[in-house]
Amino acid sequence: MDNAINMEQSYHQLQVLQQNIQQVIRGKDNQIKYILTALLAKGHILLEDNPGTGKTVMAKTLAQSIGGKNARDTSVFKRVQFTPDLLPMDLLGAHIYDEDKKEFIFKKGPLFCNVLLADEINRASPKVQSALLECMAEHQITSGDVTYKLEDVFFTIATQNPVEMEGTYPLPAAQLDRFFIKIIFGYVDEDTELEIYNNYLGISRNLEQIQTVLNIEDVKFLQAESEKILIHEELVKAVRNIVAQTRQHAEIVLGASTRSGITFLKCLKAFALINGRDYVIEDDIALLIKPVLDHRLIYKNKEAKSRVLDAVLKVELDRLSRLNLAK
Amino acid sequence: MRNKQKGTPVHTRKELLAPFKGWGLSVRVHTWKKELAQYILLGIPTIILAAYVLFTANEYFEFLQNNWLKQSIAFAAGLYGAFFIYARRFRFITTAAAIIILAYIGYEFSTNLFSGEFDGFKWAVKYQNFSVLFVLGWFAGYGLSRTRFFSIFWSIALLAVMIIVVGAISTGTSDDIVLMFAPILVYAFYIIYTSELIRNMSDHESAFALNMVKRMGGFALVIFMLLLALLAIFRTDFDVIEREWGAGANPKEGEGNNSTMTENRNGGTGLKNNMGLSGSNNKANKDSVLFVAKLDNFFQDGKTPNPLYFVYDYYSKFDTATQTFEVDSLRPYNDLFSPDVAKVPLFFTKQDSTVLVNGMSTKNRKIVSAEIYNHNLSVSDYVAPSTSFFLQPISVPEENKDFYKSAYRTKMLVSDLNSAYFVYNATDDPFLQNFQKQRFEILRTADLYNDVPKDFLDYYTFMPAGAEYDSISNLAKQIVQKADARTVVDKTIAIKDYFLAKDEDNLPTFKYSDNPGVPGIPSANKLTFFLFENKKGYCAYYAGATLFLLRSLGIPSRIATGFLTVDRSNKNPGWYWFYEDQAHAWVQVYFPGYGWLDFDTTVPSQDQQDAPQPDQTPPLTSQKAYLVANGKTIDIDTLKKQVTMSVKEFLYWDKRYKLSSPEMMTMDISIARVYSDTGNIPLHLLKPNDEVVAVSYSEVFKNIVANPTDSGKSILKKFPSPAPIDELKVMPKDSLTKDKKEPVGKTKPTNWTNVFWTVTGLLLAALLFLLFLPRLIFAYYHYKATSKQLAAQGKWKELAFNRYIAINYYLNQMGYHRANTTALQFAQQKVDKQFGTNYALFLNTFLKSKYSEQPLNNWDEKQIEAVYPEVKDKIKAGIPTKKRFVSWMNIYRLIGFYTKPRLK
Repeated sequence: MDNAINMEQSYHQLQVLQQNIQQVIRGKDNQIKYILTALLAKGHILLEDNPGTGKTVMAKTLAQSIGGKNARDTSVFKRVQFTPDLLPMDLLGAHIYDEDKKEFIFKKGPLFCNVLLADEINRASPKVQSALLECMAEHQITSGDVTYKLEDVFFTIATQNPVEMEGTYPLPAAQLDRFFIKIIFGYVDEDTELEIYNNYLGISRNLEQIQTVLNIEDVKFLQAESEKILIHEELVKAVRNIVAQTRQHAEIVLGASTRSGITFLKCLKAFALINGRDYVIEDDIALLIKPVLDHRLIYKNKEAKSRVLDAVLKVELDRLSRLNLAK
Repeated sequence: MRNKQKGTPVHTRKELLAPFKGWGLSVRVHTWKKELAQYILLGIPTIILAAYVLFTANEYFEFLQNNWLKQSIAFAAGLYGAFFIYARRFRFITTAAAIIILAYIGYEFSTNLFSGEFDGFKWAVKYQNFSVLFVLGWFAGYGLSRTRFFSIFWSIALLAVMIIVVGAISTGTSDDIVLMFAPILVYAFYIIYTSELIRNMSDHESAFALNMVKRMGGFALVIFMLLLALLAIFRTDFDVIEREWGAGANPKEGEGNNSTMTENRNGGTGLKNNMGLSGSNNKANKDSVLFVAKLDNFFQDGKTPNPLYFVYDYYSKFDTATQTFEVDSLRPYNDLFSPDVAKVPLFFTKQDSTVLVNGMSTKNRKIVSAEIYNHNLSVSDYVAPSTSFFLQPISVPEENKDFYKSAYRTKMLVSDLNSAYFVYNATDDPFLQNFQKQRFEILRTADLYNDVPKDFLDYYTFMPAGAEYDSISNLAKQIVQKADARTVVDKTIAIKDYFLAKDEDNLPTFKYSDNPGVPGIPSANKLTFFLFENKKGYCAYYAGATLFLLRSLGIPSRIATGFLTVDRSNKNPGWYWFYEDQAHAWVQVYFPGYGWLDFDTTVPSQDQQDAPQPDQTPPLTSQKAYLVANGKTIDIDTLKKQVTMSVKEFLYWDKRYKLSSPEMMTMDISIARVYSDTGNIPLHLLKPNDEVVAVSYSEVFKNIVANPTDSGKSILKKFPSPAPIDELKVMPKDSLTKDKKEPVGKTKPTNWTNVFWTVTGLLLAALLFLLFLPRLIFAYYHYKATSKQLAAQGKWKELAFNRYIAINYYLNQMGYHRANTTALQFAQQKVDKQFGTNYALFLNTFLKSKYSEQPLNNWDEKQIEAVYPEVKDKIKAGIPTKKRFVSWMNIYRLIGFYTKPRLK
């Protein structure tokens, strides 16, 4: 296997992809980067925010930007709106009787796609949530005796309304763990919002005319490239320290797992690649610590949630900033 | 799930406490861990120390009423109360005001409770003490619990209290001082360290107790070492202080034991300064010879010996506060010659002619010499008839060495009119009675005190005021009136006669008694008791009473202590034996022109005269010493029995030669006696660098001709080598002989201004160093960042790091902290924006150099090269000079740069 990174090509492709998305999604550059990070790290992402902040558009745009196997195809994009009466079958698919062939055939559900938008995931019953999350982890569906593989590139963008809202089933912590990154999508700033209002027609036209800039093979290539990113052993140590600190900290009830640490490392590499570097730096840790770790931890109280990770990060950054690795 | 379970009780407790929210119970300022640490680590040591201070203070201050235990408990209650209250969210001003108002109300209420005035007063004082201590404890508790830096003020305040207490204490031995101050000092270090430690300790840390113990342990070790070092360094200073204080304190009466002979030093009986004044003589051993003296003082016929009292010291001042007689080194016209005999090298001389001038006597004077052979006196002590001015230690003749430890020759200027024959040694000899008459006649013609300096007269006629002294004064007037005495000498004789008078039954009215029933000091009321009621006493009573009687008549007088001289034998005229019970106190009276004359008004003791104290055979006169050399031993050859010494000075045929630089002399000591004041010394114990005196009686030296032109060096060259030596005396080391008699004025006083300036200078230097420290450290980083060597060697990565650190340090010192951001974010968001620098570009390169394995390319190298002086200079230009100047001195930023954040 070729270890050298084709930095120029990777970076170029990622730039093109980002620019493509930015045509539609304004003022969300950071969020785009996080979403791409999850994509490159072969993970999934959970967007949390109120309705109407552009989550769905975001997912659509991404899906449309990525082409299918052939240059002409677009990738398969599916959207599922989660409701309390949704059943697992509705997601996975079901065996139905084919009158013509006189046999049961498997009717694939919406999970068989490249980019899945699971809208308002916390509105569905836990049963459905579990089914989805399991598939996300296993990359396959077992129905009866037959196991069906999902697509090579299977990327879920789940959205959820803030837990406080009525009629929701909060995701259990253990399942939140399946999402590599959870970000708060957030509103755009005032200037950008004004620009959107002035130009909303243009933007929706852009969405319709969105170009396919990458195909599935390109995504696979980028995913492979991100694995080759160099991460210095001191930074690995820093991740280890951070994870360990969350377990020992008095104000954290449930700390980060080893799987979290591995996820963190994968995300760091992907994030570095997105930022055009073939090596990870301490800034990556600073920017990723919350999106990657925050939703995995259970704090004693809200106050702790707002500052514990900052404190842990500060200690680690301080250690790193003093390190003299030149010798 | 765990979260929920845990959360519930907290919630309910909060709800329970909700009504008390205003009371501050609901929210703590400190967690229970900190509170517990305060109780144990701050509370207990503070209370122990307070108890110690109170205990010490109670011994010396009456108003505290000797109740230190209860007082400590009051203090402790205040302290712990404050700890408890202020660990919760209470306001200081309101609570403190409440406490003070409560205390005041309690005071008002309780004083009304007592009807009796005395009860009320007593209660008030007690209540005040306790409430003041309680409030003090309260404030201390608040300070230690809540206020930063309070511990420093608190320690200083305690130290001040201790200084006041120590100042009130008269016995100032170095051990005492250490005992008083060491606990405070240790406590001061401890409390400052610990209170800050507890304040800054994060109690979220899982190992709170362990960390606490670890740090405290380390701290204890440091303090222990520090104290040891301090003690070792300042031990000598302490001793100086001890001597200074001791000299002032010891002569006070009533502190020592009752015997006149005290303190066995160097194997002999040392004379205490207050000898003869305090206590009785009955413990003194009659058969114990102290010393033997040959006094060349004869009456005008040239053959009748005229004994003189041997003076040890003068008591000229009466301290009204302590009601005691004192040796006063600051007396005007001090005429006491009091050298340390052990410190003068054998055969060398020491003299002081100022004492002759201060003696203020011109008439009927002659110089008399005496030799004193010491059997059981301390080797340091010096006794001689007044007014002595010359000392020469001599060697004890070979035959008498077993009995006499040391000997010295002394000279004094004595008056023809002085004599031991006054009262005690009253005699029936017509010759002596005639002498008495004659000298009284002469003294009657003595001038009045008109020409005597006023300060002298004022000093020696000082008499305290008071009813008891008035009664003494009246008695003196009666005595003088009755005897119709007009002149000073007649008045003195009248007082003598008053003590010797007999009543109707022909029995003496005043008796001698070693045990007059009133022990200790003849203070004023004891003296009146002695004069008017008891009429029994020993020498000190008679001397003290006579002194006041004389002084009330305006006659300058003082008490002398020493030895009364008894002429017991006709076999060896001029030789006198002194036994222990001859220690004595008497009065000296000043006659203008004739000087101080001894007048002994003590009535004869029956025991004294009955005692068969025979004179013994006097020691032989010493041989003629031709050579006496003083110097230090260099080399001791125990096999050849040779000693090499470096000679400082020597006597040859009694002529003294001082050498400008020490000369070597090899000595043959095969027949020599090697000894010190304490006895013979085996040769192998002789150490190089010992101070020795070598004496030779050898005929070899007799015949060497010394020309008048010869210098000491050339004479020394004429001596045979090795020179035969007969005696080698090892001088005592300075540390061994404490010069107790040396008066205060002569000890070199500590120069406090010097100490002050030194300490101030050191503090200033330390302060300056601290202020310049941040700049100095930057100079180091700057040096490393501008290293041309690294660039030349291509060590770009290292150079990049050095520059990164230098810029970071500079920014930090100027008050720009990275805080929670990464270095890159900090550069982009703050530095580059504010100062227009390209710091972020460099940081990209730096991070690449740090975390990537790729070699740096030209662009990177350019970035590294360009960053350093430029970014720093731009930052510098962006900050006003004044702000920069102040920033450089901010030591906290320096500390902040090196402290690592801790998880809270």
